[in-house]
Amino acid sequence: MNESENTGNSSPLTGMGVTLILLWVLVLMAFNTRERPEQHHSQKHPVFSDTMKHGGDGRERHSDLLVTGWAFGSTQFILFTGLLGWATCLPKRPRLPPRLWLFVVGGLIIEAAFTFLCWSYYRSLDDRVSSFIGPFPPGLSWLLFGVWLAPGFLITMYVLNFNDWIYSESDKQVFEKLKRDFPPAVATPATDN
Amino acid sequence: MEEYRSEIVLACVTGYMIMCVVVGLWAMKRTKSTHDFFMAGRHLGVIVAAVAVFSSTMSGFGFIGGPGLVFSTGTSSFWMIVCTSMGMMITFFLLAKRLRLLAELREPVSLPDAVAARYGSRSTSLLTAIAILTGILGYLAVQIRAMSEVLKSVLGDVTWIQEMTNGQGLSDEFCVTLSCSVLVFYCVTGGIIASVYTDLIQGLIMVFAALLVLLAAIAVMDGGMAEVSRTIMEDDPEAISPWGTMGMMASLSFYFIFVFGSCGQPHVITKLMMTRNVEDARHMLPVSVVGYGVSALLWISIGLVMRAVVIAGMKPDLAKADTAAAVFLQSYAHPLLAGVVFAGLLAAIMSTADSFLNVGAAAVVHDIPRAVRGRSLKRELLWARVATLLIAVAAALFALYSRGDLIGMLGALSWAIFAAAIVPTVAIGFNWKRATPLACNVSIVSSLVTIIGLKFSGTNLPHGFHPGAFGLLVSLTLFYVVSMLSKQKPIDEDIDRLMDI
Repeated sequence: MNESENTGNSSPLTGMGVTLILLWVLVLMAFNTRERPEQHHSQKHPVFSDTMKHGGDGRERHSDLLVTGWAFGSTQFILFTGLLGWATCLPKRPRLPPRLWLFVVGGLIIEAAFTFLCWSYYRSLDDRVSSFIGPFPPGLSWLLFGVWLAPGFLITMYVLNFNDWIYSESDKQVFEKLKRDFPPAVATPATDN
Repeated sequence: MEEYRSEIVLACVTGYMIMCVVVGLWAMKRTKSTHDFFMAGRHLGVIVAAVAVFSSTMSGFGFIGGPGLVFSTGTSSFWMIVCTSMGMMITFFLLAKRLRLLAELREPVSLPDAVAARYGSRSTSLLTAIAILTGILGYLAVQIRAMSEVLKSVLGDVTWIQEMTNGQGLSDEFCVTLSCSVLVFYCVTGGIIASVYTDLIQGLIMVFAALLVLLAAIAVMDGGMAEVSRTIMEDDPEAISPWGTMGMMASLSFYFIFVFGSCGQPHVITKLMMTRNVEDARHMLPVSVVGYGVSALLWISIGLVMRAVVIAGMKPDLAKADTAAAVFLQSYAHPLLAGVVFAGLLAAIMSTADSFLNVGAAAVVHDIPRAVRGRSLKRELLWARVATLLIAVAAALFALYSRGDLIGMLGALSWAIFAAAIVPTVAIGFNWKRATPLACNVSIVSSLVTIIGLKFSGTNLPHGFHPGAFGLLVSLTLFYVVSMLSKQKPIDEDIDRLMDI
């Protein structure tokens, strides 16, 4: 057993603690925002009430929530891209942090798509028949062609930099040595606390 | 050809079922040990593993429940789809290398095994196994209900079956029994080897079927998908907005659960331990993301088109929202396409269900006995096969006698149970040495209590915020706080050095 000196990069995870606090604050703010109309989110559809729900008036139900919701979504993106950067920077390597700015760029691309989505939706509350982007209204197009595809940048980075960021030649050598030092039969059985 | 529609569809589905049985028999010859049964001997190539990852993720919940959700609530459930690119990325960045190296170093045969190795705690391993079993029963029941819906639709239209049943159609019990029999047969005989190779075929069928469905869906209304959008917008602009009818906070809570949930799905992340080389993860990520993205087109296109045609009066209202996919195929797809897609629907369902059976069997015969008694059962392979059968029976009974929720909503709840219970312990804890077994135990228990408590007490959170997202937030926070406050337990030296790589 080894009492680890390194607590596993606690300082980057301080960011996770801050992000969690922020998420709680935003969720509680949303919970304290009055639901309008005074009923649970989806409403009964006036014609197809057994199978189909109706959204109601978008301005009525979202006008007080839009900023909180945008902040809640944005905080999620910060948390997710932060975790990606953290996991990549985690090992004790001399070149820390490895191109951390690329994760910032990746996060900003996703955040930009999400912000355009919220902005398009906000504008559509006044102009429901605005021109479509492709076959969908602008807000939905930003969701499908923006938020969905935006992580493609970081996925490409993962593929291109795998042998540098994730599993390098030196990592391989370290692992081979680890296997020699600890063959599977030596594995310690689990005990209890 | 139209007059033979039902027979053609039946032939395609029968052909697919036979293929599954053949793969099961082939895999049985290659399954010689428990390690083969649960881990495929760590011999999976890039394509097989990548397709298995995405086809296990896209399930009956996606192919049957997904269109039903879009029909019912508009675009709200699109957030469950668009999260996958981010979710899979987090899974691969945080876990692919870590789990694969651990698999080579300690040779675990299941996720709770890996948890026991990481934390050196039998109680954490036991609680992980219990959380997995809890989620599996619900999620497997969702798959079985979805299979039953597909079979009812396929067999219900065949003339001689209608005559045989005096026009009553087949019972739920018969459809559940028939579909479970094939599933259990190839899982019991071939274990995870049968599961991943059927996943490969099933994944390819799913992608092919989704592309064909998209083309068929575009042709349903003059003006294509733009006309579909306009029709829905005229009826209810919110239904085609980015938030759907459920609203902003509900949609964003889906995103939260489903991104994190991707790296908490035991049947998916276990496959990351089965590859030949660590480097395989490099190519698996894009293949899995693209495969899932293409197959999700079925969810989007069928859901939107069925909502639009019902609003436009081109079709009567559906008896149940979950029948959207089946009604679309019977109404708008060429018989051959309908046959392929119905096989694809079964493929999507079975590719997930078989993985669940395997993971559940590992929990029952391997993880729980090891956690409680400190050693495995004798004749583990035999008991694994028996456990596979028993779990399928239990889930089938749950599926038959727990009706009410939409398939999609039940699936989202089970997904959330996995996410909240497993993500902190595995995705964060395998990368963070400060994480303690006590923190894991607290987070697993708190997530199960929160989610199941909110569900069964009938509590609706404000603005449709999903209880699973709330449970995940609770479990992540407790995990973080308890880890920071509790005394760090020494980590085995090999694991400690592995976590530095």
